Order: sequence, then structure tokens, then C-alpha cells
Amino acid sequence: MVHNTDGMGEEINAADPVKMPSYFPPRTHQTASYSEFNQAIRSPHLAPEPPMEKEPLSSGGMMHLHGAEHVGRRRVMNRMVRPDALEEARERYLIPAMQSQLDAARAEALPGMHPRAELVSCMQTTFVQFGAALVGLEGCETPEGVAELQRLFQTLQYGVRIKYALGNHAEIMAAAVAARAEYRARYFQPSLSAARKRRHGQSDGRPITQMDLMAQELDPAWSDEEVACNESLLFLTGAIETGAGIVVHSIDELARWLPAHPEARSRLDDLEFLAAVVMETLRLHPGAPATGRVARDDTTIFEGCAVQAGEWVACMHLPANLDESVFGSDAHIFNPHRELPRSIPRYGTTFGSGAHQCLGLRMVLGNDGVGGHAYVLRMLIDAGTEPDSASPPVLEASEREAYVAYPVIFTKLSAVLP
Amino acid sequence: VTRHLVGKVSRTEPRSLSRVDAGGVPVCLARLEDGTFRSIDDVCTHEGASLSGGEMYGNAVVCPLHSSQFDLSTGAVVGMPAQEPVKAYPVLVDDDDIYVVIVST
Repeated sequence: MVHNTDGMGEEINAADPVKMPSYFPPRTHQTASYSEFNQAIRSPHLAPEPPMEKEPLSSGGMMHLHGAEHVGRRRVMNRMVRPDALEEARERYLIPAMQSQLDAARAEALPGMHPRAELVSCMQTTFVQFGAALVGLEGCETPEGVAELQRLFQTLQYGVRIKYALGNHAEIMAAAVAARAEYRARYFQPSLSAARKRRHGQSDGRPITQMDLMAQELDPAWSDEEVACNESLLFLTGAIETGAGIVVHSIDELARWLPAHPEARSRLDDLEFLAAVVMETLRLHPGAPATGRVARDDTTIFEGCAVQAGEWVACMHLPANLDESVFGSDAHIFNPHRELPRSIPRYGTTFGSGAHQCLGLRMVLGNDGVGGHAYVLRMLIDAGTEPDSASPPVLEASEREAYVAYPVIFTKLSAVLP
Repeated sequence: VTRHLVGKVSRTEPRSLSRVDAGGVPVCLARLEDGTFRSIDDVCTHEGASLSGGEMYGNAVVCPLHSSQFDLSTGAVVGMPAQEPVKAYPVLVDDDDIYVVIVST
């Protein structure tokens, strides 16, 4: 495996994602099991960690709110992920975007050769359109508009995840703040203006987008456009990053698992099975190594863990997701057939739990347990997607596990004849 | 079987949700668009949020925290992430009085 790029192109080695990230201050407590994770993250004595370095990108965002303020914002934001919104984003944007990527790979392939693609970029382009549809962004109607938004995302994501970066934080944040300004001018502001005009007209029957909610200022804090811009940026980057990460890791896991389980090939067009693949992948590859909390008062969050006000707690995802007492003695192994009680989510703690459980969960689960990600995975499997053994994948140089490049071959597709 | 007086029709708007107490059981009382009433447990089976703090979406209530959806007539899950249904209770209307019927086991 190659480790590369810290957002500024510097080559650097990645850290171990099982270890507590280095941004946590001294004397941070950390959870070591599924039970400890859930007790800590649900504790009313612990508040979400502050934005710290990423404040210019996330200040005022829902993830930093607490208590009634958080519930009020969340209730409003939930309208973005209602069944009709998820279905429209999947059918009208996500699936066509995926098909366009496959068509483009065919068009670029040499005669007699299977098409090749770099899957991370391919998935980012696909999920940019999915995320933009839910946010309600204008300017993504053309390939150029999508490409430009993807370019901004690639810089913004390192800013949003700055706490895990191993490179030069000041340089990464400066680039991200500049990208935010471009995002605001080119996408956010025109989209909000359009949504405000729509508000005065008749509804066109479309699902509600984040821009519609913001135009109506359904949360008073959104009257501050800086806060609204950050909220949209956080949602968008989360949707793209999560979507791309899940699909790439799923393809990677299947490539290693299927040769030993040939009987499962007959189920590769079964969306429920593919949803199980997605969930198992999420359990093994959480998008972040830890979720940080800060004690509001002196308390004991679980047996033997007394915390003083102001101290930090690192709620560690992988130790929880690999807890053999919950997920079985083969917890460390990819097994989409894994059977669990209904009370245990198949995705483990990857979306967090408690009040702050990630809004993105609805995008991945869909309304009925089969989200758009499973549809995309089926399209890739239909295309015979396999890792390109001639080009090794590249991991991000950070304290989280994410690919920045994953070359693939579409073994069931052929070049478009001239 | 016990019926509990939980409110007045004249004080309840169509398309509204309210948290009421039915003999110690926290209940989400819903008045639908057509003026009829439904009631289900008020505690979401996913993460314990108060469903009456959510929103109505068709004949379902959307949990304010994570968007789980429950059918207001049956308590069945109609939208994830919740996995387990909530209990549904009959509602009786007698003149202006609204009663929720709880069956004790």
C-alpha cells in the first residue's frame, strides 16, 4: 500500500487508525469497547467537541450544537432526507451520474481493452451530484459545474478533517478557506437566492432541499449566511466523502472476500445483500477513528472512568466495532452474512449513536434499509469492477483510513467502438 | 382495559402532535388532516426521543432526532433507522373529550 498526499501533495506516512488520534489533549479518556463507546457518547454530561481549527468551515453547524438547540435544528434538517428526497436524489441524480462515469470509462478505453478508472475520483463525481441534489445546489447541471464543485470538495474535505491531517495544518486550512469562499460565491449564494425566489412562487412539487429550508430560515441561526454556508458545506462534504468511501471500501472488501465465497456471487444483484455488504464495510471502515466529547461537569461515564469537567473523551469507533462480545469472535473479518440481534446496528458505531447520530445514516440506509449506495455498488459489480493489479491503491496521509486513489478495471465492459 | 382522558377536541388542531399522559404511559397523540385521532408510544425505539416533538409525514410521525418513521395507526416502522415498532393505542372521542385506551397485561 502506498501512502500519499496530505491535501497539499506532500508524501507522508499514515498513522494507525485504531490508535487515538493525536489531536486529543493530554489526559484524554478513551473508550475500549462497544459498551463504553455507547455509554460515553450518550452521556448527558458530555458535549460535542468544539470546532477548533476547522472553525472557519464549521462554526454554527449542527454538529457543534447541544441540547434543545441541536434537536430543533435536527428536526428541520430531517426534511432533507425524507423518503421522496432520497428517492429523487437516487433515481434522478445518483444512478445517472454513476452510469455517466461508466460510459466515460468506456469511451476513453483503448480498442480491445477493458475500460479502466480511478474509483475514488469516479465516486466523488457521482456523489457530488447526489449531495448537491439534497442540498439543492444550482450550478451542477453541466459536467463543468460538477467538476468545479468536485475540485472545491477535494480541498474542502482536508479542511473539514483537519484534525486528522498529518501535513502542514496552516497551509491546508488556508487552501480550504479559499475554497470555501469560491464555494460560497459560485454555488451557495446563487442557490440560496434561487430558493428565496421559489419561496415566493408556487411549489413545483420537488422534494424539500436544504436550500429551501434555509430560504425559509426555519432555524433562526440560518439568518446568518456564514452559518448557513457552513451548514451546507458540512452536509455536502459529508455526503460525498461518506459515499465515495463506502463504495470504494466495499469494492475492496468484496475483491478479497468473494474468491473464498464463490457461492455469494449469485447474490451480487440482490440489493438487500449489497446493503448488508455496505453495512459490514461501514463497521470495519468507519470514516473517522474517533468522536470527541468534552465533559460539562465532573462525572463517571462508565465503570472506572471518572472524568472531570473540561476533560476530553475519545469515543473510539474501531475498538467498539471489533468488540467480539457484540459482533462475534470473527468481528475483525468481513462477513456480510453476519447475524446480529435487531438491537445491534450492523454498521456498529460508525455513524455514532445517541442524539448526535449522523444525519448521513438516512442517506446510506435509505428509508427501507437499501440506500443509494447499494444501487451504485450493484452497477459497479455489473460492470465487473476489480482492483487494477498494475496500479496499487493510495491511502490518504492522515490519522483516518481513506483512499485517495483506487484504480480499477471494468472487466465486463468493453471499449466503445469508434 | 382503562381509558384515560387526555385532552379536548376543541383544543386540538388538525395535523398536530402532542405528548399526553395516559395513566403514566407517555403517549404521542396525533390529530390527522381529516380530524381523526391516533395514538402511539411517545418514546422512539431507536434512541428514545420524544416522537411528539417530531413532525407528521402523511400518516406517519417522523422522529425529531434521526428521522425514524412510525405509522400512527399501527406503530409499525415505516422509515429507518428504527428497527422495532412502537405500541399503538385506540383513541375514543366522546363529545369533546379524547380518551386513550390502555390495555394492561
